Amino acid sequence: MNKNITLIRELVRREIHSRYLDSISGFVWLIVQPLMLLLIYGFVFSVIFTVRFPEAETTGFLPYLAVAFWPWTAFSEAVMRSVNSVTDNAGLIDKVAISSEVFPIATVISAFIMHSVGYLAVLLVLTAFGVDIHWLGLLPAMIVLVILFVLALALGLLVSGLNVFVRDLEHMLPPVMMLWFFSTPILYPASMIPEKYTHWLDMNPMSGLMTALREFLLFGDYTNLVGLILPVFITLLLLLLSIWFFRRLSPRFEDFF
Amino acid sequence: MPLLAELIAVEKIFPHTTHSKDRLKALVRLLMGRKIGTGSRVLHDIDLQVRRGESLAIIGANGAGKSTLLKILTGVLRPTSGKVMVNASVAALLELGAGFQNEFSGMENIRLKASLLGMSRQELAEKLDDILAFADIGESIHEPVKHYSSGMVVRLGFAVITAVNPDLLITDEILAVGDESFQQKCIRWIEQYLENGGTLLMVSHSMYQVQKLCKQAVWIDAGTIRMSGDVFRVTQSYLAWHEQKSAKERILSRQSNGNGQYRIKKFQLGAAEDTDITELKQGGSLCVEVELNQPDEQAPVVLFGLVRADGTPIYGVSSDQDNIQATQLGNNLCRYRISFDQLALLPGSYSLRAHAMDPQGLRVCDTQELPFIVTGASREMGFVNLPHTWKD
Repeated sequence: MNKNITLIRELVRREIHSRYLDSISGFVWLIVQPLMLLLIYGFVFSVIFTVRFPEAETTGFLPYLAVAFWPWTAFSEAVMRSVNSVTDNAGLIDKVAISSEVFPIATVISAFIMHSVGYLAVLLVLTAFGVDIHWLGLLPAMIVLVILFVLALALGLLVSGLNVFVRDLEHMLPPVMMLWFFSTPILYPASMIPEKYTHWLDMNPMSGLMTALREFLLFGDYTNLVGLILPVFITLLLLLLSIWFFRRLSPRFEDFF
Repeated sequence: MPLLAELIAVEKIFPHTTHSKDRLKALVRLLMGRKIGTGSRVLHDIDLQVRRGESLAIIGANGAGKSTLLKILTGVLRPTSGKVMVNASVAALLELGAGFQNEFSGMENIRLKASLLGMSRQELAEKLDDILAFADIGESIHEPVKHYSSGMVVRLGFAVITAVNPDLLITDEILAVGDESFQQKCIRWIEQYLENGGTLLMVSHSMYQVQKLCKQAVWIDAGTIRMSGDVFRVTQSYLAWHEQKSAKERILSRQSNGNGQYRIKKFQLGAAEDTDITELKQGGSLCVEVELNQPDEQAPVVLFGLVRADGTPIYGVSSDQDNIQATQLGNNLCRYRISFDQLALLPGSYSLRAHAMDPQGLRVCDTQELPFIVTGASREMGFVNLPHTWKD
């Protein structure tokens, strides 16, 4: 156990260094890439489509989008990078007695560490531009981020283990994540979803999390903690399933590299 | 001595993985908690015990299953069936540069490797200087490992191992690379480690290293243990088997250590005196004659060794044990003749080895080997027929 913690720490350190810090622009890209996406979405939706909804009236579309967009980016990057985290380290797993789960765990941790830094930077920038960020809401928002992290961890374990057996998964995952992105109230508020689809969206743990983030940070409304119960429940269920799944498969990974 | 590791009836089957259909099937079976059906069997019926303080070599031809065995011992692979018990801290160096990441510098790889071996940060900080000193690759330590030579990679890998000082050290062919002086350094370290009570398990194709470092050996052939025991006995059989496989020549001049004073000039065997045949009937006589050169007054000693085709020794006897004097032939030649009557050997192929030794019977100066076959229809088992009586 101790060994795994040291190992995860070392892997996270390494990943952060190589992915984000080693290239001079790495750290800049960490902010710039989501920022550019944010601007593109902002341009397309608020300038071209001129989308208007009451929730964004007070804050403006960009801050409304940004508050949910960064956590989503952390989540989706964590999951998409996890897919290959076991197979990419086949050389190591096949030569050294090592618990394979350290790789997806380290990948998810490093993605969240780096994007949390980016998130904080974005919140500061928004404040600087006069957006009224409720800093007290950061505390309950942390809870949401932790749930998001656990959800990413659960899915990371699931997809990294599955990818050993089904190599096509890495190609299947990006469109699935994109579908998830668009069916989650990130670009739009949950209220815009037509009545007949709402019960489907309730199944999506992500929608409750994103809505909660906005309520906490943009509107200073901390009453809706109840809305987190279902996402927490689904997340824990998924985590248990993933752990079972990974434990079943991981002893045999070496046979399938 | 306490057991450090034990394998009981271990079997390893690698599943078929080339077709995605096989992979999916395996996935479903694993999730249902069942065994993966068929595959290629690389190890079976492996029983092995490693005790504290032992030094054990695993030898065998390529593809015999040695590396798979090590992987099972280190916990990298799970056996398909059988039991594996390891109660020791294990440090393994499987293959060259295993666990190294090419893109990272030597220094970063040391950190990674150290954490893989379970070293904490403080431990590593304390031992870093020793590691760097042992690896001795200078400023290259800050270069990415992909620019390293294979020797440098091994230096780095071994250097980290030296800092861990494990209960059980497992190495797979690591001494094959690295220059002479580094090999010496590693061997010295391993010897020191063994002296201090360490336990070693190594795979090597160098019988010299095996004999130098190990007391026991296990010979793996076609996925199972063919022979185990004293290192010299096992390595000799293994080498003999290799010779059998490669050389079909009737006479093998096996050894000539340059001390050509006493050489075998003539070596023949047959069913009666002065014959030269290679086939005998079971229970017949085996007559042997050797002529050795004798440069001075003292006649050399001759040692005859009867071995099975795989090199397993059956019987050996020398002229000085029996106090036999050589027959002088003049011209600096002497002769020994011996006859094994009523040969107890069971049908099969055997070899007779003649060793010319110095007059004190201490050093072997020359060796020749002649194969022969014992024919017969006996269905007894083993090598020899022992005199016996059935009682009622």
